[in-house]
Amino acid sequence: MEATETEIGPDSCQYNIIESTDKLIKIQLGGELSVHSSASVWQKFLDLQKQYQPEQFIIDANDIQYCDGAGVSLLIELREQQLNSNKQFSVLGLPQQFADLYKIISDLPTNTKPQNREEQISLIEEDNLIENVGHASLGFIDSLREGIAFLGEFTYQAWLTILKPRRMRWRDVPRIIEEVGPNAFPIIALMGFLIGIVMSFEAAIQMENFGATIYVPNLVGLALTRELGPLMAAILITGRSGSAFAAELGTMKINQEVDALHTMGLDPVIFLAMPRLFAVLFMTPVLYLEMVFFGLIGGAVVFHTLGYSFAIYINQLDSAVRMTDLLGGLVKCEVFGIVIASIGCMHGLRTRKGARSVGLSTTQAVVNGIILLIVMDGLFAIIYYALGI
Amino acid sequence: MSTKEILQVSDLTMAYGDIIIAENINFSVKKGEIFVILGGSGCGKSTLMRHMIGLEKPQLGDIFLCHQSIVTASYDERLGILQDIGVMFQGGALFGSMSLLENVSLPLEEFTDLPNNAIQRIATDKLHMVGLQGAEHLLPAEISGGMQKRAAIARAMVLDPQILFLDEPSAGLDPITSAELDKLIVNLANILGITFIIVSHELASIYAIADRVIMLDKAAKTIIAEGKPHYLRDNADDDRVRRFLQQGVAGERIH
Repeated sequence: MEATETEIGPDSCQYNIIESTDKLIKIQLGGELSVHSSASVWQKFLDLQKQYQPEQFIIDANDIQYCDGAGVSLLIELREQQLNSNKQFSVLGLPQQFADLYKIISDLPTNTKPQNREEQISLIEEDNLIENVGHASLGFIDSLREGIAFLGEFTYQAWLTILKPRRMRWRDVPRIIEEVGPNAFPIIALMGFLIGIVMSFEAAIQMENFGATIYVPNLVGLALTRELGPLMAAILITGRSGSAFAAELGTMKINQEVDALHTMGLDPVIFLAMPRLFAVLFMTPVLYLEMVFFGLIGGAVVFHTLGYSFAIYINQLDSAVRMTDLLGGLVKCEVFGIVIASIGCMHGLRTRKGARSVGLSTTQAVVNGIILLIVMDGLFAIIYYALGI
Repeated sequence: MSTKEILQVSDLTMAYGDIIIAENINFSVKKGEIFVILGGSGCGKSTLMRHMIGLEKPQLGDIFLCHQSIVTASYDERLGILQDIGVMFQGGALFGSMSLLENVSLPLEEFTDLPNNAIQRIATDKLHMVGLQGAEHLLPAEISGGMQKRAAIARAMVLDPQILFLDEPSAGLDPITSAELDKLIVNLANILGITFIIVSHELASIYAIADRVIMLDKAAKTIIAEGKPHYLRDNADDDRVRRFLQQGVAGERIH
């Protein structure tokens, strides 16, 4: 069977299928076989080859005016397909300068050419389900052990720093305090105010059915001081500062700055993590109080629209919220602060190599931090209930 | 180990898990020497340096810095050893949030009781020694790669260590900056008597400064040559060593 097809256009590859049978495919090529023009013929030629599986494949390249690396790759691909099924392939009349390129690329070693990443990895280690499960489990245990070891060291160093404050670099603390605290003031105020408004509004709708709207301040006050204030402030600090700690320390790790600290005899936990811990411990209660304050203002606005005076609002708050509620919230905040700083710094210092690893550490710091905060909040609920607070 | 030898590595095996990087590593370095560890990519040069500065634990063998083992040292002994050495990492590893002066002052602030003005004086002098006059208050991101490496050398030598480890000091530098850095290293070795242990594969720099070299090989997983670089280039028994040391040094164009 003989077929003739020609494609003409700017930068195009012209081809002429002289013969296509299961004995022989012969294609006459002309024009440019470049990285752009080869796209139009690549799949066609391969399909043709697959369809006829010819004993011999001949490319007549006498009329080729230009051929680049991609064009040569097409020829090599066709050649490999032929040779893999013990059939013949030849290129005729390829101009000398392109023939040199063809020789260089076709002489490259290709005997072990894995198709994808999985195959490349499988060249290094055998793929085995049981081994994979084993490796994953050991990895999990290692990571858990590293986590526990870090938290142990973190707590120990924090305790030593409280006993001997001079061992820490306090000079860095104001800068970190500024990043954790004042820079977060506007968003904490906004969130607190909106939470106060939404909560009191929703509560008022339900309480109106029982004629109990006067108790809206009691609900808002208690919820903000005991639960929402500490938790929401802590979640916000995790998102803003926990992630920043992980990213900053992670970048220092991949830039070998952490190694440099080790070789100077400086402990990264003392030098990098402790200033962040104390900055967070200092600022979490402040941000908590700010959130409670603005939440109560939001509640007051809604309460006022229900027809009550501000004096009644304050009176109701005074009767409902005890000092222990506020102190309980403050204690929670400090514990949450330890969680945020330790998780952020731990993931930062455990960063492996590459920019992707920094992103991963940051995500883990936020996700694990928030999960741990919620778990701790649940524990606090049980403890406070048991203590009758 | 004689008193002249300031560093000794004996029967060292380096491994990550089950994968052995290199084994049976034995060599020693005399005080004041400029000693270069060379070899092709992936042969374990930087890993060997990480072992010598205590960042990695050897699988087997021992490393003595200033006559003390860094492998078996207690926490306090290790702190003492680390103050006798300085390290310049490949990328400089300067602290990005601190100015050059603050970077160089840091070891003085942490390990001495010097008053603040003395710390400033010493740190400024070190920066001037490496030719960074006028850049004291710049941040690392505001200076070139060559300046960052020089600042990192200033920080590494601020406590006047006995041994300076440099990881690929010439990598990524233009030939002039690289030659200036080589000159600085030779001057510091001659004037201050600092021992340099340098990881490098920049041949021009190696011929210019090295008193002695060892060559690691990825396939052999050990040291395949030790001696003066010019001698090894012409007389090494091992063909791989001669080929490595002769490669492209004449500056001929490849046709």
